[in-house]
Amino acid sequence: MSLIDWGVLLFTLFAIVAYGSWKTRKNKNLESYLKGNNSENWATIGLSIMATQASAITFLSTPGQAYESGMGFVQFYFGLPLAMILISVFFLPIYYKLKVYTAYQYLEQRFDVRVRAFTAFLFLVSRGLAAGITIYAPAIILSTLLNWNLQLTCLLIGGLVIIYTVSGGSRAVSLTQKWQMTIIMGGMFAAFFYVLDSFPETVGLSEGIDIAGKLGKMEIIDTTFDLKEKYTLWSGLIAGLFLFLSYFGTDQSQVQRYLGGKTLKASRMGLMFNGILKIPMQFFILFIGAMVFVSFQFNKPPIIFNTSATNIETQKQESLLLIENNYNDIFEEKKAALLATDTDTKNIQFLQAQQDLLRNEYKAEMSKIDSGYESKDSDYIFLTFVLGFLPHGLIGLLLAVIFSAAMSSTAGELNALASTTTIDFYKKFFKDSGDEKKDLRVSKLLTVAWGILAIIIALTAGLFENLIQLVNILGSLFYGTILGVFLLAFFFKRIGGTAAFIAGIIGQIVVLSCHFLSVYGYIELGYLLYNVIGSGTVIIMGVIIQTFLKNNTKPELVSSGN
Amino acid sequence: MQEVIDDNEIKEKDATNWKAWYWGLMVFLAVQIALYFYITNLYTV
Repeated sequence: MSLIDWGVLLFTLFAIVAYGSWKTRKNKNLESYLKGNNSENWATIGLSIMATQASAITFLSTPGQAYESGMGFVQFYFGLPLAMILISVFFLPIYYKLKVYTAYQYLEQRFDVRVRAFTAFLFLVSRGLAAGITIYAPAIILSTLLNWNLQLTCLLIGGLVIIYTVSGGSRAVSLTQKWQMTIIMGGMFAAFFYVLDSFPETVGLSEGIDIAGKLGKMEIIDTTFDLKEKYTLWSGLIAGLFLFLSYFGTDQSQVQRYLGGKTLKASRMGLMFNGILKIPMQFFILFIGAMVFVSFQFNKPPIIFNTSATNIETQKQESLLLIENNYNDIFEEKKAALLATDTDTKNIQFLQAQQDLLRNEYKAEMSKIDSGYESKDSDYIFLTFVLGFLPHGLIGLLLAVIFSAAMSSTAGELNALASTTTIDFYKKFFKDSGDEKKDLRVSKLLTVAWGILAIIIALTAGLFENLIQLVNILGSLFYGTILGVFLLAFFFKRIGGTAAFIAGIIGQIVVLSCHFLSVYGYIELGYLLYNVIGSGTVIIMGVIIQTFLKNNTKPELVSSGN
Repeated sequence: MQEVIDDNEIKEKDATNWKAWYWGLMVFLAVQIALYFYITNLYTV
């Protein structure tokens, strides 16, 4: 990294922190701190929703996913626009009508305090762990490729987020996310043009798409109905709908973003904005990955992308050198075949398959030499390209993109964790002093506490081998149950608090059982289905239990305390 | 006490044709899926 890159990176990061803190320095009460005084317009809400969802790993991992397996991952998002519509019709008006701070407050109004505390607790567990990994995941990749100190990288990301989230609350999060998202998209467009620029002179965009297509990277839609397949048209539309309904409709880190809207209309528009742009944005990021794949058909790629993550001296291992030489020979042969005027598609596909085999063989050999070697290197592909092909200055901007994405999602998470702890636990069960200034202080202290916990989790994450994998499915482990409870609340008017509470616990036990049966190989299930199973179980059990209980229903909307 | 906003108050302030937005979004989703289908069929290996 050159001095210019450092300059661009540090200026971008500190300018965002300073802007967020300065613009929101006049926060004086809990409402302005947690809901930003309902002052956001639809564009800020829309960008803020997108920025909260898109973490750094989205921009590091997604292009690598297209490089390895093609663009099928975009199907994962097909349920999102439908979820936006349902939230806009059913969830938002109720949240607005009751003027809630957190989504879980509504559940007390509709059921009882047990249901509110249960769902808020599930949220704190899943989001609390995830916040640490949102910091750790990009930090490990940046520190490996750039030889940075991992602990310092985690501290830098976490520390900067804490500064403006504590000082400015929800409004600071939304305002900074707007600029972070602008930097992210600007950086990704710049990267896209440099990917195209790295092609040989005779290869343009259409030839690039053609090459990616011939080598299987443009197969987007999979219509097979296979429960084991993670990404198909059906899993995206059905399981994805449940996942996004739960994430956007009941996860406080998202609910807080649109509850800060000026009006119900602004919040709805923000959701529509997300519904329109999310799939094209993911398609674009995946497409960059497919074009990086094409670029590496002409510019020799390393056989693995995370060599620096291991201590193995690969140049001294004969078995590794042999595989690498074969890999390089095939690369040259394939490159010549691709540049020939009369391209033989079958031959190119055959050579690509050979190259893939050699890459896997190399990884297996690495694992034999070093049992701790992490063979999944797709997260390192995009950054390897950035460091190798982008000019100085732009490398700094792309690193600012990664940091911005990490900071924007972490800020949203810390803000939501502090709000839920303040409103659903502190003010509810411990002390509702009625003193606005004191409540604001407590909320700020809780933001710091959650921030420190997230940094501690990030600093210790390396000790737990499967933690990242666990956190990836963590959302799905809890979202199904939470969504089931909310669906009971919205659509099953006769269900009371006791039935909802017991059904929630049963739903959670069923999802966890499915997960462990799947982990130990007794059943095969894609984790997206946990959302359907969780919410389905809660609804069915809720209805069954209610039929055995009498006189337990509560009127739908009752004005009560916080 | 928690404040509750009146339904009519919400409706009066917002004259947007939300049905059109929702249908538009669904049509946009369908168009995207159709386009991805077309690309997939074009390049099925």
